[in-house]
Amino acid sequence: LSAQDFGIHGAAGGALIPAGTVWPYSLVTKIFADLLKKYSDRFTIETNTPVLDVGHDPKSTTPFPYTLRTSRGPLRAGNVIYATNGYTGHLLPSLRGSIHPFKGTMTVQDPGTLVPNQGKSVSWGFHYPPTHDPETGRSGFGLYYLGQSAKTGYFYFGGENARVDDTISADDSFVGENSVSHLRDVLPRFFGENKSTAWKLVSSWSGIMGFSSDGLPLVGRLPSSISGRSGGREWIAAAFNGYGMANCLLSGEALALMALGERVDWLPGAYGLDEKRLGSVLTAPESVKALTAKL
Amino acid sequence: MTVTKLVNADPGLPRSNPTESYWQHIPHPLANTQSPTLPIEANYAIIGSGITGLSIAKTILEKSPAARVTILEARTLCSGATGRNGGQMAANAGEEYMHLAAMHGPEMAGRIAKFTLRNLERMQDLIEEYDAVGVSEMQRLHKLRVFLTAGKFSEFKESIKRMEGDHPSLRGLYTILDEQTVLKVYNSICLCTWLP
Repeated sequence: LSAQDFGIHGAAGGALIPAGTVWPYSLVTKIFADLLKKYSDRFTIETNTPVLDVGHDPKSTTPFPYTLRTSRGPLRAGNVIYATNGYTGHLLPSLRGSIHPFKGTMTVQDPGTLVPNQGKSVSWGFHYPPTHDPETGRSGFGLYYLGQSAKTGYFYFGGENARVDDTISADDSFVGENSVSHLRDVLPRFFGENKSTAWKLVSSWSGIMGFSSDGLPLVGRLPSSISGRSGGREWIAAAFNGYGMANCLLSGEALALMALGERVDWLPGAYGLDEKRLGSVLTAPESVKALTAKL
Repeated sequence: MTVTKLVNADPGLPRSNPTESYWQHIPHPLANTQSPTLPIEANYAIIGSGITGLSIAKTILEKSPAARVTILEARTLCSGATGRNGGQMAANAGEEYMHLAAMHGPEMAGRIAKFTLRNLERMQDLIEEYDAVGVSEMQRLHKLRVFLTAGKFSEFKESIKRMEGDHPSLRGLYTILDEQTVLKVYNSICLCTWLP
């Protein structure tokens, strides 16, 4: 058997690393429910309440100099914390370009009885050099990710193969038709099904990631040069570059501790927002450079 | 549109009619939670209700006994990237090590690698702490990274070698598999039902 017998590109080599799979929505909502119960006197969650803009009154003598204007009226605040990932640039225009949305496509496919359920022991990532098809304008961004539900045997399969204007996009109200058919075409082939026998499509959706020009998250206090406001009580944890599960939890914890005035020495310094990073590698031209290297 | 225009565009507010993520196909009872009227003030206003917003809120509430915290979410609870992702719990610091070391030096590249690995451990701890192994269908497993071209594979091996050389404590994490072994593992894992 040669590598070519194993999927569309074959395999040149690989590696095993300890990892996991998880249904993050069920985890996050469960913990939110617990926090709402435990801290009912001082914690609220306001869904369906978009923030339209943020203002700061430097003359305010109250502990709440910030005003967040929302669809349901104003909220005054002592600190404003942006956990806005790919949408950050909407409320913080100075970060447009340094952080940009990156739209991903996911599918759930049911292989039926064709593939054994290995969801308890293995997940997969397939790495390939980025591709570009000048005819369709579509680019392959170099990675497919795959996990299997131990419960149902369904495959959760995603990866970006789309036109650049469909990829650098914050619009998750539709799924690129080609993106889904591509994922349906590719997955069975990774499992040796070379005929075009698509598996049952259980679900497909899109989602918006937050990418930064230097590939690293932004975690820390926002300087007034970015917020455009004095006050110094605006904070951000965003741009997880598709690796939120490996970064968000501790980044959020670190940011909260900073906002509480504690010293945090365990967050990688390169995630910080010092002037050097903001002026050199965290810029729109750097984003363009990083992206065009992938196109 | 050019790439420059695309990256500089206003992403706008989260769209009000997103595609339905399979992770959210049974909405949580709190999906549309809100106070009868918006609170007037909060010590900490957090924008976004994904896992980052959760972690920030949880830490402030636990550490600061008097702090009033409000999360503002444009859509339903946890409807952004956290509620729409690929379901993977994996780091990529080893793959990125060469690049990170070139940009930030080996010490910082090592700190980033260790931070992401520790984050994954904390995820698993949190899931256990909240007795959520069942509901989140969390699995501890091995991720098989498959490199489809020789070029990608040799870049990867170089990166891991460099990381292990610079940071002995990170040795043994990655088990490199050559083509034949990948095919064998891959084969035994995935293809056993078809092959003669």
